[in-house]
This record gives sequence, C-alpha cells and structure tokens, in this order.
Amino acid sequence: MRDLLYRIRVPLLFVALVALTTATMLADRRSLPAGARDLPLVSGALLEVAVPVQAALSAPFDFVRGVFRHYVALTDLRTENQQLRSRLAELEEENLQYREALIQSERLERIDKMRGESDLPMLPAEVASRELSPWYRSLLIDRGRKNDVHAGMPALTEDGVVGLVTAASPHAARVMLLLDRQSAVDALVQRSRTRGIVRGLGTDELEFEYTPGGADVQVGDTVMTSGLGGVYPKGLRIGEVVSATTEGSRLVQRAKLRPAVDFARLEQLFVVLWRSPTLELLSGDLDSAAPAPSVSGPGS
Amino acid sequence: MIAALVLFVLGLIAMVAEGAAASFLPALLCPDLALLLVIAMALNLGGARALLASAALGYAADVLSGAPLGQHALLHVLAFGAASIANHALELRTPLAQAALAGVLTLFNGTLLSVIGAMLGGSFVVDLRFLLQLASQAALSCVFAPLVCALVDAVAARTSEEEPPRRSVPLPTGRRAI
Repeated sequence: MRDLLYRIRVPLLFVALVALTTATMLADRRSLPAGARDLPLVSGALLEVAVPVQAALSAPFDFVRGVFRHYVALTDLRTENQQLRSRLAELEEENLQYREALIQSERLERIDKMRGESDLPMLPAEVASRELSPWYRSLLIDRGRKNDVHAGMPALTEDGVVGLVTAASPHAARVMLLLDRQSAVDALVQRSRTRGIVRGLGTDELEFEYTPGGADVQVGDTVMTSGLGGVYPKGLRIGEVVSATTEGSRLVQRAKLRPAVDFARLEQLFVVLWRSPTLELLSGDLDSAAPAPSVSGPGS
Repeated sequence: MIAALVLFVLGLIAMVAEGAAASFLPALLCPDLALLLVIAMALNLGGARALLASAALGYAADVLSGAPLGQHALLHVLAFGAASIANHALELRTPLAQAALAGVLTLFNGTLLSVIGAMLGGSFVVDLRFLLQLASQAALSCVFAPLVCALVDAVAARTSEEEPPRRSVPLPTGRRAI
C-alpha cells in the first residue's frame, strides 16, 4: 500500500493541487464583492519584496527613458517657445493698436467737447515738423493758404493755445509756439481776473508778467487769453501757475507757468480760421475782418 | 529539493524582472517566463517538488498580477501535468519538440486564462487583438523554451548531488522514465 501511494504520489499531488487551486480561486472570487481586503502574510510579503526589486530593475530603463523624454520635451519646448514668442509679439502689437485707438478716442472726445464750446471755425492740421532752429520754438503744419490758413491765425488744441501762424505757403504754414521768445499774449488769471502778459522764454515754461497793484496770483491758478491783445480770442487756456515770486520793489511781478499744451507730444492741432480786426487792419483788408468772438469755456 | 527551490526563486526573479520590463516593452514582446519554467521543470526535472514549485510560482503570479488567487496556480499545475504526460508519451528531448510543446501549451494557457477569467466575471472577447497576443506569446514561448529547458537542466545538474536518488518507475511501454 505504501509503495503504491509512493508510486502515485505525483498524480495524487496533481489532483490535490488542482482541487486546492480551484478552491482558492473560487474562494478568492467570492470574497471580491465584500470589498478590498488585506493580503495574507505570505502574499503581502511577496508584494513587499517585488515592488522595490521591480523599482530597482526599472531604474536604469526609467533613467534612459526619462532622458529621452526630456530631450524630446526640450525639443518641443523650443518649438513651443518660438510659437509663444511669435504669438506674444502679435498680441503686443494688437494691444498697442487698441491702446492707440483708446487714446485717439479720448482725444477725439475732448476735441468734440472743445468744438462744441466754441463758435470759431477750426481746421485740423497735422504737425509736419518742429524746431527747425534751436533758437526758435516753432513747427510746420500741413495746411496752408489753399486751406484758408493765413498768418495771424491762432493755433490751438483741446488743451489750450499752441501759438500763432506766422507764415503760410499754399500747402503749409509755420506756427510760432507760445514758448518762443518772440511770443507775447495778453492774458488774465481765471480766478482773480488779474491781467498780464504771457511771454515765451525759449524753454518749456512760460512767464506771466503782471503789475502788482491789487494783483492776486497763486500757484495753481489757470491763466487764459484775455482777448485784448488783438491776436487770440478770449477764454483760451494758456497754462497753470507753478511758481509766483513777490518782489515788492519792482513794478512788474513775474510768475512761471506750465503750458496747458504738451508741446513735446503735439501731433495734431487746430487752426482757428479767424484773424482779429487789428491784424486785418494791419494787413489792409479791413472789410473782411470779423469781430473777435469768444470761447465759451471755463475762462469765459 | 534544492533544484526546485532554486528554480522557484529564479521564476520569481523572472516574473519581477518581466514586470519591470513591461513598463518599456510592449506586451507582445514579453514571454511568459514563469509558464516556460513550469514546462521546463515538467520536462527536465519532474517529480512532486517540481510540481509544488510550479503551483507556488502560479500563486506568486496571481499575487503579482492581481488575478484571482489560484488562477495562474491552477493553470501552471495543469500545464505541468500536460507537459509531463506529453514527455512520458513522446520523449520530448530535442529543442524543437520542447519548443513545439511550449507553443501549444502557451496557446492553451492563454485561452484557459481568458475562459476562467470570463467565468469568474471578467470579459472574454475573442478578437483580433486577443488572437494576435496569443500567437505572439506562443511564438515567444517557442523561441525561449529551449533556453529555459537548458537552464533547468543546468540547475538540475548543479544540484544533482544534493538531490535524493530517484527511483525508476517501470512503464508499460518498456521505456524508463525519470
């Protein structure tokens, strides 16, 4: 009997193992619906060993694969970087155009407001060039006699007075800026109605000369054209007082003004198609002279 | 005893290494080394210990692969039995015969694995992808089977002095099997 069992031990073991594995498989399958469970000790130990061993075996291959992926990623990154730079340039250009349009829109709004406040006929003109000589503060505009632009006509922007047209050709004209040393405008302080003369200094500032008797000029005051000089209509903004000196012994007091117009960024202006009767008289064309109108602005 | 233990450890290492290689090799190129080891043990080692080692390898495969515990073990036991019977009947000693047997058993193993999986609630779909994988596994087994058999032979030879003497079993055919 014992010899027989020994002879058939392998078939017996085979049958037993088939039964055992089938039983464990079915038991394992039945326990699955019960949810997750901890592994038995031996199985758990096998996994505990397998994981670090697999990680160690995978490490060299993962390293090579990682290097390759990084290389590919860097190549892609370079292409993507170029695309993004290109896109960024496009967006910057687009943004610039939007901002420019916004500035133009705001400016047009101010111009519209200015023209609504004034009865004066105005002609827009582009600044063609400026400061042709270092001793004079003037600029050239792209409108001339063909456009009814003549010497003696004021030039201004929505911010205030620019200067005076001093010469005109058929298609261009020269404008002397308020900043020029030859420029002098009869003006008054908006708040106190103190009268005086605004002169150009050849720099970026203006000077307001006035007589001290009863004068009241303070920093921050707005100075406007008085309309009495015979050149500029009344009520155009000239600038703002930035410093006022009090020198009692002198007959004339002086204050420094910051021009209302930013001459450095001047691109477009308006020529007032009007000359004062004084200038018309001087030019011998009294019949065509019109009375000096006023601007219904804050200074009027 | 030692040979079976060594082969069991080798089988474990092979499975773990295969798991690591699976992360960068497609499944179609990964042979079932544990099954090949079981077949080789049946052909070149035989005996109860080899059978136990095969079942243990199957359980290890179940744990590592996440299959129901006993599925691979059952199939390994069946493969061991089939290979032993074939070896007894046909005296499979040449590499070509071992390769052919390994290929056939791999086909059966794959099919049974899927069938049992389907019986246990999985999805068993015989489509082109499944057939392709089965064919590639069988082909790989054909290629690797002689190598694994040689390995098992070498292990058996190195540990033979420690093995207990085997008893000859007379067969009705008149041939002697080990």
